[in-house]
Amino acid sequence: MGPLDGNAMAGVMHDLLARDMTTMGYKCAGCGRSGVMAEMVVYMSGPGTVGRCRDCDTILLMLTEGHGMYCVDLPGMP
Amino acid sequence: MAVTRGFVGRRTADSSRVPPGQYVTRDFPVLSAGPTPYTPLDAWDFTIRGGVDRPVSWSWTEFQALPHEKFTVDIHCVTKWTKLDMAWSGVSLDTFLDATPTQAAYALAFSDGGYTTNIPLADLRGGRAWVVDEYDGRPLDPEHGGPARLLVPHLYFWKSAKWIRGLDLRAADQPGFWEMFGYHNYGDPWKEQRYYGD
Amino acid sequence: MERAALLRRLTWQTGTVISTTFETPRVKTITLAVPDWRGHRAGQHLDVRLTAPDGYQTERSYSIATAPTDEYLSLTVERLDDGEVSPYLVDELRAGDELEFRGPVGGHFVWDNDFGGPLFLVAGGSGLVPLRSMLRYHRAIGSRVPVRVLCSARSLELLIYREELMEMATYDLVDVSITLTREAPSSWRGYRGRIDPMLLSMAGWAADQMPLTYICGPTAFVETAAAGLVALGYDAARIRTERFGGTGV
Ligand SMILES: Cc1cc2nc3c(=O)[nH]c(=O)nc-3n(C[C@H](O)[C@H](O)[C@H](O)COP(=O)(O)OP(=O)(O)OC[C@H]3O[C@@H](n4cnc5c(N)ncnc54)[C@H](O)[C@@H]3O)c2cc1C
Ligand SMILES: [Zn+2]
Repeated sequence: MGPLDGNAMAGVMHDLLARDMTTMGYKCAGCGRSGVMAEMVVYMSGPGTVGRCRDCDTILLMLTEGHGMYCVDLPGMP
Repeated sequence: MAVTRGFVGRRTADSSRVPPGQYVTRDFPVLSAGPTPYTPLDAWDFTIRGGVDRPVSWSWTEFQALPHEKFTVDIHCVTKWTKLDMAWSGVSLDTFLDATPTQAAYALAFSDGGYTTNIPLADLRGGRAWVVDEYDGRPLDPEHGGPARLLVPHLYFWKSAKWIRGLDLRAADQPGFWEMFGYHNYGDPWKEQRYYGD
Repeated sequence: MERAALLRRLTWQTGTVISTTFETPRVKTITLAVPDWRGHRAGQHLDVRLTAPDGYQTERSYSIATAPTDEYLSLTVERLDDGEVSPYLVDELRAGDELEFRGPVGGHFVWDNDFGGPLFLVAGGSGLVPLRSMLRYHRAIGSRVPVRVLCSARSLELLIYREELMEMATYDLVDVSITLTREAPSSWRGYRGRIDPMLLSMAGWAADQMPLTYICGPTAFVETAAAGLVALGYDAARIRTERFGGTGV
């Protein structure tokens, strides 16, 4: 199915970080684009959730879950 | 846990062919971690490199000419679906590895789109792994990994890299894409090796 | 690289279904009573979680269809034939049932009166749900922001909130355009065919009016609409999008 966007991660991210993250800004390490997390291209159908830059596909966010433990990686964020 | 009245999910009865914690699905879910690459067949090749005398590549035409096997296996995905009796056609990894003698013990499979996954070389030998280009009698859809994907049915499905382009043979193991983000290094569905440490 | 390991905090709540009504043969509106509902903003959504007797759980997001000013909370769900959750919600869920959810969530795809205008709302299929919340809210607070709405539906029968849209269109500040992509009655006077820059330019505002745009629907629909508006000179920073997944419309 087509990818989603950062709005689809609002619930889990809010749950984990206790605030809305869709309006959080980012600057892409790959191409310099700046935007908010809601605009990321989000793939949720794999083992984990992958958030990528809308312009250059650089991975900005990885969210994985195992045994009720969540792991958030922000490889492309300042 | 509050049960939702009348909800059973998209599943059928369990069977001895279903590993623990898995549910049977009838459809073939698309797993993706990135955009679907569309590599033209004349630009496609399959390369074995790394711990070999020199890298060996097969073009699409050469790959097509290799002996293909038709086989039916069950597939188990770490996202908890199991799909029974999936019919594939492809070339056994033995065919490629017999042509590339090596001392290496591990392989890092690499794909178009940048995806990687690590597998012990022993698991790719002995008729247990293939490069497949046909599912259910038809060329493999790009969204399911076409033109060709790795298929290692005895491990969780993320090890069956979509859009496969080759193997990097190594003396030492190196985690791939999901393995780096907390998924199990080996991924045996029967031992429920889902996450790091399982 | 930053990495954080987090333990999930439990924030699931339960609502009780008060009623369910068909919008079209495949789409149902589910109205919930939620004790201690802490209110929402127009455009936000909930994550709904279903649990099978053997413990199997699955979650999906559904936009809130009602305005913050409405008495109840409603969701509107389109049934996908091969879906896992939407057929349950449309076919099985009934008044008196409990439904577990988390939310309201999302602070980006929301509308408030002080964001400026004029407003352009573009919906593909069930993408109309969060925009309907915005429209109802706009009306309820007596906003003076002018609104143009463009809805894409397969046919008139499959257009959700049909009557309500017609009623909204009688309001001076609200202009509603509808395009039918599969079949239109011979007497149809609205648009036909899929959205493209031409249709967007006719139904929307001129770029130099600095419209604020919300686009929602299947992923491919949202991409087409957003690219079309940028091509027409709309400021990308004033276009907010929400993708529901899937393809088509
Ligand atoms: C922020 C957000 C808000 C949403 N709000 C609403 C809403 O208000 N109303 C609503 O009906 N839906 C909404 N959705 C979509 C909803 O979350 C589900 O994806 C949808 O109901 C399908 O779930 P399912 O379990 O029935 O299908 P699944 O079992 O998940 O999928 C079944 C099949 O349908 C395809 N598919 C999945 N989603 C869609 C889609 N949206 N359109 C077309 N095909 C699809 C899949 O690729 C798959 O082939 C929203 C999604 C997001 C991210
Ligand atoms: Zn970028």
